[in-house]
Amino acid sequence: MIGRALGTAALASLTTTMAWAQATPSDPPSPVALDNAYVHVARDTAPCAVATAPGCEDRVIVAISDIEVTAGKSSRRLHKGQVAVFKKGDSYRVSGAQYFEVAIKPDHPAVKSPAEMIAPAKNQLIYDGPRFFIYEEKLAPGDIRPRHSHSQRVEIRLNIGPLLDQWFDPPKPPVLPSIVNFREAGIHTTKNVGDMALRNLIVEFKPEPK
Amino acid sequence: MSADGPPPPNPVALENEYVRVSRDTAPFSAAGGGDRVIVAMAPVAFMAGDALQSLERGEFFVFGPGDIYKLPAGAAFFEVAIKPDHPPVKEPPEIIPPAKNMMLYEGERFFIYEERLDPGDVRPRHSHCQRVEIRLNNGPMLDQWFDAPRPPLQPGIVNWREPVVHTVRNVGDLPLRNLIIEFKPEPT
Repeated sequence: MIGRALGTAALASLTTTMAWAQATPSDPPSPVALDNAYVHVARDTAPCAVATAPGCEDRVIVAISDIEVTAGKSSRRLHKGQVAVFKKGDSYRVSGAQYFEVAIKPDHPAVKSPAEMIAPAKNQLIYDGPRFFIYEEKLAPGDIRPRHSHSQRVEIRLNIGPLLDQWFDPPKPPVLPSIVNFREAGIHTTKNVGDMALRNLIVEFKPEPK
Repeated sequence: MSADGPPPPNPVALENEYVRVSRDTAPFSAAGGGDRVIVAMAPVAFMAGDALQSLERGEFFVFGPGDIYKLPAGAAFFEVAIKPDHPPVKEPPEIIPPAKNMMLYEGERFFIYEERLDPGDVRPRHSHCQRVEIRLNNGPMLDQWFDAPRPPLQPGIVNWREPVVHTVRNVGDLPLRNLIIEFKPEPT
């Protein structure tokens, strides 16, 4: 598969994989879940697993099914929603089927943050580093998260609900399902009006130092 | 938007030249308009003419132009009113029935079915005319109120869909379950 071949290329060339097209439902999904000036999120592949790969410094492996992550002589088993964080100079190997590799681009533009920092309630902090933090965003059906704010962030949906991927006739660019999203900074109040608990894994940038 | 909480949901879930879908209110309950469909989102008992009717979530009742009805206050439902003077129905270049759905009602101008698709399952190439989609399984779905204020983002529980020929796969983790009111192609 050409998509797989591109997915294993160096990060410097990964933006070219945005041209990926899953022509039929039997083709594998794109190995690039998200790519912008801030992050590259790879699906079920780890193009940044080798420390010397260009542009690969801070990285997060997010398990979507049971996987094993090996770094040096230590090995960790991760279940859905669990993460392993790697810093510049770390190498690792991932065994297992479903995961995302979130690579923070070292030369990304300045982080955009809201006018006011208001910590969101009801979430669970998982990791707190100098440049970003990771938490599980939770909200039960019918529940409200009072007014709060976010900087720019990557959202990986762990609970999804029904979600259609589509192939159009005549062909249009594929509509990729929104399991991985990049969210801009903002202040908002939210309510879960669905019928399933909200459960998202969030990698959120910290505001730039003043 | 205050910090006190979100405002009540918009009573108009969808409005265009073809339909108006009202949420938990029935502004077209009197006779004299066009066709209307009451879709229950929770169990509800209501008067359809002189008769008491009960519906479970996802069930519906179709009313013709001369029918009247009365829904109780506090009930969870949608009233789909078909506009009698709507523009011609747009249809796809090819009519291909979708597989795996359950037909529930077939009328002169529209039909109603429950659209179903299990996680991981594929619906082969098929087509649709214009239609109203009411999601019965939603998954997590956020309604949001922004600061500084923006128009609220209404959750996509009720959607208007244009004609299409497509193949779909449910890549989610809940079965797809939508109640669809689809226009029939215009008579030729």
